[in-house]
Amino acid sequence: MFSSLFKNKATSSIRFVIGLNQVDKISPNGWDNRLNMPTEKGEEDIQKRSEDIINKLIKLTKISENNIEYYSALKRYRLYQLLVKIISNAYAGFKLDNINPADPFDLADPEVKKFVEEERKKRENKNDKINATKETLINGIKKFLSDEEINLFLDTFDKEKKLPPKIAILGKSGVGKTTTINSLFNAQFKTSHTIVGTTSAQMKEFTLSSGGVITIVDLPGYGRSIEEDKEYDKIYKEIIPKCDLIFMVLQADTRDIADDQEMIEKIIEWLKLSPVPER
Amino acid sequence: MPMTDEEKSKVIKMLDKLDDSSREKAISSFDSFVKWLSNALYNIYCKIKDALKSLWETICNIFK
Repeated sequence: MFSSLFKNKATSSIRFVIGLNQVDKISPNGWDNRLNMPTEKGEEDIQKRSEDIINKLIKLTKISENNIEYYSALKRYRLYQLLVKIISNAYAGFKLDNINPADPFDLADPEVKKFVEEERKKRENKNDKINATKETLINGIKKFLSDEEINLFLDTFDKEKKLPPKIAILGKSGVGKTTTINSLFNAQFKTSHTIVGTTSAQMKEFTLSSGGVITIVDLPGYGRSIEEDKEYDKIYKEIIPKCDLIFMVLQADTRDIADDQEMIEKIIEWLKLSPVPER
Repeated sequence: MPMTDEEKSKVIKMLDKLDDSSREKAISSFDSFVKWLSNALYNIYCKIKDALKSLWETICNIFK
């Protein structure tokens, strides 16, 4: 389960996640609205189609499957799986581990929701176990360090914890970027203002249901014209090195990924030049 | 309308999947913490790398 953890130095991973959104639209009649989950046939179709796109992206761009996840923001489907990919790939992604995505069963019929509540009560202790392990790790580390090193560690750790995670999000218009942010982080939009000179990149702060804030940089879309893309490249190059994660949203039922492929390759190159975010 | 046994079974399966994902979230968080440590405080990371492995095994046992 943990075999990959100590094999590679951290800088070998890349701060990039591609999300294939709107998978609920893949299979006609493949969604059970009463339970708010796919039917068996629907789930098979979703998995097959998503794996096809993931394999295509891997083949074309050399990105790892560890950087790609499929989901539906609107239906709140596979948001945990997406969050896991984000935590794994973001710089200091552990700061996002207190987030619980919006609950899919809130969208189910009332009797289903009631049944879920009863089932969850039986499972409550499991989560306590998970939270206890974090304390075990931090306290365990202290035993192996001098006082000076402990202070340095705690000081650096506290400074990092105080920095709101900064995530740049990009994708073509209509792919569901805002729905994704709201559902995935169970967040509410707080403020909006343009911060990057004359560009159209916007930095937004979202308050998290678990406390604290998350900074989302909404990057301008790409693939409209060569001129615009050239202009936007300047924005991307300026912003991407400063972010803890780049999150690209694609439509899972898209057939043409030529523009996306080019963008993915550029992002990978830029991130390789900045293996850790500029602070 | 009351839930059928089939519906209940489907919901329980989905809840199991959510529990698995929640555990994976905790694991990925530890993974991320170690990656961060190796970037932010490489000397300390090197010093406690072996201890972290041992701690990790302890944590794995908690999940069993």
